[in-house]
Amino acid sequence: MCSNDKGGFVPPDANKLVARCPACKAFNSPKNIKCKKCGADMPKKS
Amino acid sequence: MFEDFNMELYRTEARWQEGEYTVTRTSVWTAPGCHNGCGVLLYSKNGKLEKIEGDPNAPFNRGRLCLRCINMIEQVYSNDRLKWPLKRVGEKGDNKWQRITWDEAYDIIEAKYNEIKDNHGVESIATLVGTGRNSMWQPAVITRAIFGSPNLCFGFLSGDSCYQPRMTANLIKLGDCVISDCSQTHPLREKNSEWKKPEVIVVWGNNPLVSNGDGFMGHWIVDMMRLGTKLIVVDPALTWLAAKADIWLRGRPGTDAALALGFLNVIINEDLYDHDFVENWTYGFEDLVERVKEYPPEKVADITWIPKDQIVEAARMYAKAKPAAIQWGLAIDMQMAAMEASGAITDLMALTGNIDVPGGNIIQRYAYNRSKKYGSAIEYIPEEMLLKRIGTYESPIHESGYTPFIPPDKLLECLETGRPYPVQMLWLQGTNPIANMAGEAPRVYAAMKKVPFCVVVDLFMTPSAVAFADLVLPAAMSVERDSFRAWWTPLRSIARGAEQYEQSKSDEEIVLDLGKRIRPDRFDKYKDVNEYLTQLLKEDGGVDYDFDTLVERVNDFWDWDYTYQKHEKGLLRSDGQPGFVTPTGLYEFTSPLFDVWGFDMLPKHIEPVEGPYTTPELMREFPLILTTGNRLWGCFHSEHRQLPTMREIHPDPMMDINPQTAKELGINEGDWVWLENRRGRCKQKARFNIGLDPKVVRGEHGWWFPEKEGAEPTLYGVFDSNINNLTTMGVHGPTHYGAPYKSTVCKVYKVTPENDRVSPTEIVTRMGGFSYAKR
Repeated sequence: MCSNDKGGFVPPDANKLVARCPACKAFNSPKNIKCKKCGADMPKKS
Repeated sequence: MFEDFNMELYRTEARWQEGEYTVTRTSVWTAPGCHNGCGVLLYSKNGKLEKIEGDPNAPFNRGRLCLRCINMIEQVYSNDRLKWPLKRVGEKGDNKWQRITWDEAYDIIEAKYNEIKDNHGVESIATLVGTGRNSMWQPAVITRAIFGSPNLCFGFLSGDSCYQPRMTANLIKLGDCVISDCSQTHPLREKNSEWKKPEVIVVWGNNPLVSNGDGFMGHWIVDMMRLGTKLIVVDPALTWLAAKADIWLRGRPGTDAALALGFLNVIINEDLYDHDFVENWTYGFEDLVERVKEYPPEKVADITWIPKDQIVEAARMYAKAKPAAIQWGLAIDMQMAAMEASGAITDLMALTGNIDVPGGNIIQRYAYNRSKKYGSAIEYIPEEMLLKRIGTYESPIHESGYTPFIPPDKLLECLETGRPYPVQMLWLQGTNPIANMAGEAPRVYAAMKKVPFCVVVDLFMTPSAVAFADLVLPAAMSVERDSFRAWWTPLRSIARGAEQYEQSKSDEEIVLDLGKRIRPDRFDKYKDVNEYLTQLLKEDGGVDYDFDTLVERVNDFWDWDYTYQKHEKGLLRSDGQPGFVTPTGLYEFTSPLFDVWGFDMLPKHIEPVEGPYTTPELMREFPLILTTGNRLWGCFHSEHRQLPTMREIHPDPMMDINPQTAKELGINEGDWVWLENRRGRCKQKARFNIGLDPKVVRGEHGWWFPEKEGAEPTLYGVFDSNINNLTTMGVHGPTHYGAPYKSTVCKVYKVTPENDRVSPTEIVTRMGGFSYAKR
């Protein structure tokens, strides 16, 4: 399977780019502490 | 119908002796420039190339060649080629050089590298690369793995506006890139039992018979026409394909997003979309339904200048055809709404269920995942060095890693201001920016002059080399090098069929030579180019054979690339599950990533930054819409201008104008005319083109004159006919992608002795540019 780790033309890992709010399922930046839509706490990224 | 010659007459091995000729069966790519990798038979005698023919047994081109290959002998043995490394001895721009050895050149580079590393940091080395040819991964490796700098730039192409918007829109919406399926991904071509002929092909924003862009051979369209495929052509000019099309949509340049949204409106409102694909494989359809309500055909007709009935008819024709493909091109990228247009056109493919189906738009990856192109060697850059990338953190798409480049517009700002740090060294490999891709070329010229040290790797002496270089290194051509091509499929050998001209070296040899000097820990393990190429073929789960075996095979088609409906078969995602490589696992009409990055999640029209609706006052002085960059048969961008055969076909830079407009301006066909706007002017020869809208003119790009004096102020006349005197830098769409190379404004008037006393090149090189001249 293709990987972007060495520069292939496939997208970066989506898990590093977006995070889904556990409460309302809205997409957020992984940098968000609170969900931009419902204000719920976003899970901390390991 | 296409194999109606006896293929057994033609040999299938890689090398043989034919009388006094050694014949090498392989493919060529670059140099000189081209986006394709056609199969060829190279006939050489005593190490010298004497004849070249198309390889009938190459499925890619089936014996066809275009002028650039047919005329290869003249190019390879042109006396104007660079013969050995050159060191500047006069001032920059004097065109005075001293012949040196490769070792002396490498000594200078290594010493300069060490000085920069110790005193400024390696991040102050930046590399400029050109368009997609076989000089993409090599400068990337030199920049990142050897110099350790993160700053590789598509320089200076404003808004990365060549294939990056289209590819990135594909990657964001479905996680992979798609191309129109003319059977080229399978070795049996049309005889592949799974393949179907496209009932309709929409040729959108390109003239593929001339451009052969992005690895797509234009004559595949003609093959499809012979099978009965019907065409819709979207182009402001009447091309050969447009003349043969069922529907020709002559739109206003820079309004492709609106046109695509108009198509989407018709297809949704008339229930012509693929319900199965939309319901099972997509995300955000309801949002798209709401968005397209804003683009009824009447409104789209006003925006695009295309009659409403034609828009409706074309949308129906595309949607009802099963299957249908969209063959898109550079014009999509070269506008403010490049990402938006790219996204909306990709939505058309999805909405009609034409993604990864036979005869539709098939998902492709580089053959066996081999070629990494511009992204090569990024794994060598540590996180703290990535953070020093120029301009990258001002653009979420660049920051996220969707493109391996730093933004060209930001690099220009950096050269001009010295912020965030002054660039100490430029490495140019296979690019001639002031003659070709740099928007607002005089501004780029002034900025590049500020960089203390510059190395150029090229085939010929160029205006960029004369103006900026301290060292010029001679590169070998495709027929003189060992390499391979994996963009897209098949994996193809590029095997040396002639000895290298004078002391030229292949890009691969330069990588290894420099690598062994500066980073022996990374490159001493490779005995030679052959071993290095074998490593690139095999590493990270590649092929299980070496470079010599690829040379023997000539072509190797990857079955993944010709497998259809990969999303249903779990062939796309790393977890092996069905779906696409997106945050939702679905095709995304609405982009969650765009939402997170603060962009509009859905496609929309963006007016050109200059035009009748945005700058009506400006149109009083500059009343014509200017589109640029149409391709030439014999010349690839700024290349080939030294060659008598090419110049016999293209003696002068030509601008196209509707005869009615020309008459109003007192211009006869063949007159030299000025094209001018508030950034500058250039002169080209008028050619009547009745297919152009009377309010639109078209100017050629890439023109310089090797027959003129190289030293400044003449500088090969690089700014005399340079259409990029009129284009922009730093003007791009909200995503940082897409610049209006094809949709700006100008006025046109005849050249006279009175208004042509000082050449544009002298104005730029000696008088500080057009603004100074006007003051």
